[in-house]
Amino acid sequence: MLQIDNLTKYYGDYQALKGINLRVDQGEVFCLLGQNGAGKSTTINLALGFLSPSSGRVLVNGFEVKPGDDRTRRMMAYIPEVVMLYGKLTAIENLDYFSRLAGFRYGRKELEALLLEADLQEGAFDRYVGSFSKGMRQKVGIAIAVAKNAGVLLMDEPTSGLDPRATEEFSLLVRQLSQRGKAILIATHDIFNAVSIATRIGIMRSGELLHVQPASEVSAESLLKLYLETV
Amino acid sequence: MKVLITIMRLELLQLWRDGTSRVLGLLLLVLTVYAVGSSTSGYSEAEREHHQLTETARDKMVHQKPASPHMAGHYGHIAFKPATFLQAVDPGVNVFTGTTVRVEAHTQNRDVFAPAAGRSSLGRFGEFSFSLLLQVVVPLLILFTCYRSILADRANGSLKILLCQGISMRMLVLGRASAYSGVFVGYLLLAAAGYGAVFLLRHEGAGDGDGILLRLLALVLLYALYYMLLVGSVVFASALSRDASGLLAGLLAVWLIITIILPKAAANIGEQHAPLPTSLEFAEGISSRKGDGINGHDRSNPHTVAFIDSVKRAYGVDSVEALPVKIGGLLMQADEDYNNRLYDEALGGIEAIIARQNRIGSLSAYLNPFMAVRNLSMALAGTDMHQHFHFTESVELYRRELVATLNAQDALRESAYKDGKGKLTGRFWESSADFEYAPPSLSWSLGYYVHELVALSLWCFLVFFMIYFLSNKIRVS
Amino acid sequence: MNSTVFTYQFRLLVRNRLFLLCLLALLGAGIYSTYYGRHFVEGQQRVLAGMDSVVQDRYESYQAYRSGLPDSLRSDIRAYAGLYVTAYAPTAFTALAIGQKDNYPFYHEVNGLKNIYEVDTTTIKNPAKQLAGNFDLSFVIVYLFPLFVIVLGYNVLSEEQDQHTFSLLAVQTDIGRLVRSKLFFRLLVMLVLSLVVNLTAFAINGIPLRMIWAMVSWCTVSWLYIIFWFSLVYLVVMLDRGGSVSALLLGGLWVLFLLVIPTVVNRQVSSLHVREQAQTLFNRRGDLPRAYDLSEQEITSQYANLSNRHNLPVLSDTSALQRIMRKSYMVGRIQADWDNRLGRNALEATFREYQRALDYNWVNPAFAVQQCFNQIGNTEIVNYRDYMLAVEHFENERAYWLYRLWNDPLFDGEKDLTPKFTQIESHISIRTIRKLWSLLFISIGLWLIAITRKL
Repeated sequence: MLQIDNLTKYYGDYQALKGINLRVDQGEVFCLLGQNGAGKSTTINLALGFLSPSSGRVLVNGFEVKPGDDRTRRMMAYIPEVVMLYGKLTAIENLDYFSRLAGFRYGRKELEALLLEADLQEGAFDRYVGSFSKGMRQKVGIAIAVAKNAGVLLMDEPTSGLDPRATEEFSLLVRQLSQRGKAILIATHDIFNAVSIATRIGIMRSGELLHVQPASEVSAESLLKLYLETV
Repeated sequence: MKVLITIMRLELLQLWRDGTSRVLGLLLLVLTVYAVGSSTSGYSEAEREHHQLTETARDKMVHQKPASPHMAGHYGHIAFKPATFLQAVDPGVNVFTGTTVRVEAHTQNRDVFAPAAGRSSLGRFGEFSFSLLLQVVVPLLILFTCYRSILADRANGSLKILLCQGISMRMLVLGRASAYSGVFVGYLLLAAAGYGAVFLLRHEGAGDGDGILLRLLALVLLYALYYMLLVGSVVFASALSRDASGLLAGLLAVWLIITIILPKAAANIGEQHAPLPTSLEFAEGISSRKGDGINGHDRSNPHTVAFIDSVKRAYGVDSVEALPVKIGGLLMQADEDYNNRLYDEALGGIEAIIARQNRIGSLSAYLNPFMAVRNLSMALAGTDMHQHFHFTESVELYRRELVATLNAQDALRESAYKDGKGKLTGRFWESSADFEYAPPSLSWSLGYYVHELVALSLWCFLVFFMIYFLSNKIRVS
Repeated sequence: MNSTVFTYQFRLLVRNRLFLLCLLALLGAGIYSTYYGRHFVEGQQRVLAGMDSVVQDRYESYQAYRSGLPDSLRSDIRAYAGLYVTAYAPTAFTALAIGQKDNYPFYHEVNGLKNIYEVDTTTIKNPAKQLAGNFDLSFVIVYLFPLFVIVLGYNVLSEEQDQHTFSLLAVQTDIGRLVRSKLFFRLLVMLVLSLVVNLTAFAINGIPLRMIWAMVSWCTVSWLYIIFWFSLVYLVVMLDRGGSVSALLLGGLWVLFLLVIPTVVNRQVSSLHVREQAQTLFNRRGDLPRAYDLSEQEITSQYANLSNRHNLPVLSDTSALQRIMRKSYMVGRIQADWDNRLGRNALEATFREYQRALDYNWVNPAFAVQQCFNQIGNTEIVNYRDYMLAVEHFENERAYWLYRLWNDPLFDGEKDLTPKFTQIESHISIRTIRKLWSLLFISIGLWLIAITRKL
């Protein structure tokens, strides 16, 4: 479970976040919408402990997130906007490396299973990631996140640059993960995808979380209208 | 032209606003001030030493104990190589060639005392000279400031926008290269002004008989060309490259190879290609041939006997006592002439081998512009091997004139400069000229560096060709 | 974590063509430098062998001459007192650290007549070549190894940022520990590389196993130097200014420590010494007072004041010849002392400059390491000074022995105790390594500062 209480962040005199409050429960997918500079990535970075809040706090399974804190970091997995990985390592090697760093040692078969679960084709397992498309790298990123077996998943613009098919494959994976009880927070521009995968949707503007509503109560068109009115 | 100036202005503005560049510039300024200050004070000290020692040697020469001209020839004189102002800019090989020569009869002492002999290994790191900054540090700075000049635009996507504005890649490369060249040439002019001011202050009214100011300007031109060449190459490489780290690593490797590795390798290859004889071989070569000629100290030597006989015949006398001149003086001069031929051949051979060794470095200028600049810099500062040989030859000329004069006095049965016992008086020494070294002209200095001049010109032409004809062919995406 | 990082760092490094190229270049430079050093040493050995031949030839000529003498004269010549050559021969490690060996005279003809300090050269040199310097193994270690360290380490953090793996890693593990592990791996790579290069150099130069401590010293010095540079890299990387700025800073530090600081220190501690050299020339031609002009009383008192004098036995034969020989010996020793003092003073002056330079070791790591290598190679001024002092002592001993041999009939039983000059061995001791303590402390300090920085 991920809980954000009254989170504020200043960059000098500029207030990037103005008292954000949100909660993502187990099995829930929360999509944060907003235009560029709204504070979505700042929220994600604060939640991951990459930044220190000016005030407020982030709790993961009841534990407060502090920069450099191993305990809360182990409970979270992350898929960044740009998943580049190590171009001179194969998909299996990348997955193994990141997993071991997180303290998980998997055998070859387990690694393959994780990549298959992320929908990466078998023929790509032993290819250098440097030759992968963005979608394929995204899948390895998902495998890395899943391999960590964390309760909370944070994703920053995960569908950015993906073609429609890759986006659909990604959405399917996210639904499967939420069904396994993961709490998932996604920062995205993609309204239509948000409607399709989210449990709840929040709209941010200028560091404030202005609207939060269940995805089941909106359609893509009404959400778009609300989004445009808000931002 | 307006576009070029716009590009240049913007680049200079960005450079000014970049904190890193400002820090580097400040550091360079501090090092330059230190270099100018310490090198000119070092030169002053050397000049002072030179004057004092020259006066001491002259005083000893003039006030030496009365002795026969022959013994006076053995006593000889001591010549000191004068300090040149431009050695403050580039000390060249002076550290290894030394400044003190003994001038005496029967021996050519071209192997002068070298300051480097007897020093610790700290001396091998070199002297902190302005040339170290100019040849090694500034090119590194050029590398670091220019390598992202066009690469940054490519990385942040603004390159395509610039090109869409109607600017050609050639214009962009030329503009950026001109901006950076202006900065570094400006720095050169500032430093040259510093040196020039120091020189004029120290030499008020003394004039510039040695062409110091002309050589200083030539040095500025040399380094300006080198920097423009470097800036142009780096900016062009920046336009070609797509990877900042790779480009930086590659340029650093090139800098290392041309500045550190190749000069050493060229010198080492030269040494192995044309090895010098050992001192033992050299000495044995001379001593083995001495026996084939006149020995002024051994009257039973057959060549000496033959010479004496020829003199008697020339004067139409039967005995040396009947000669109107003293045979000793003539014999010594004949001995000296023979030795001069021997030494000229032997030392000429050494100089030829050294020239063959250094030729490798000279030719390597076609592969490595740094070698051209380094050699030309020493030539312009008067601290290269050729100027050193010019000095040793001047000393040798002085030695021969002095010894010939002494031998002539020795040959005279009576002379206004000799006392009743045949010993030279102080009057002789007071009228004797002291050794004075006149450095060669600029054209003489540069005459030995045709390869370097041609190589540098070719490099400049190549870079210009690259920028002018190939820039527009660089793929943008 | 270390085993994971090491495994994957190894795989990434061997798949990096640029790294492999640099590695090959460094190995190539190491091997070339070894052969270069060997060539230099062989050259000096050839000259020394040539001198041995000259000495042998003269001895044989002397023997031939002696055998042609009538019996009555032959017995008066009790020993060969001709040419003796002392050698400052290259040692096994000289090839690795040529130091100043190419500038110092490396043999001296000792015959009691020549001033040993006036041998200004035993090789004819090309000043342009001297300016370029030697490409020996110590050059490769002092100049090129730090560059390789910089290439290996400058982007240890920034490469993760540039390839967008930083944030992923930050989620998986402690980035600070990861950076340390990566750097530690690369440090190990460098240490192993230096060991390979050093061992190869030892093998090529045939350095015997009995010189194990010298080998250990050499490798220890190399490693201390590499650790120092890695400490610098670590600190700069932890400033987290990006790859380009890190490369710029480290490149600047390389220029500072290898080019600027040693040359500035050189300027600060060194002086011209032209005056001392001129004094030597003035003395050589007789401008300075000569011992031959001293009165009998002055000779006796001057001789008594010599620090290295031998107490001469009472003359059993007080004939005029013996008294002249005795006086001649004392005058000779006095004059030798005066002559040598000039040269010794000049050498001592440059030795003091060297000692002053050592005070700056804490900011001058390149020189600190270079002079350690040179001491192991027996090619530093301290070694040359030891050699010259030994030659001076030997010359004095030999002059005394010759005097006794020729002038004292009671000296018969000692004629086999001909003074022999023994080669000075290089300094291979903890003292040599101790000079690098400042380097170690600074390295530790830099590591500690870097560790405290948070990313």
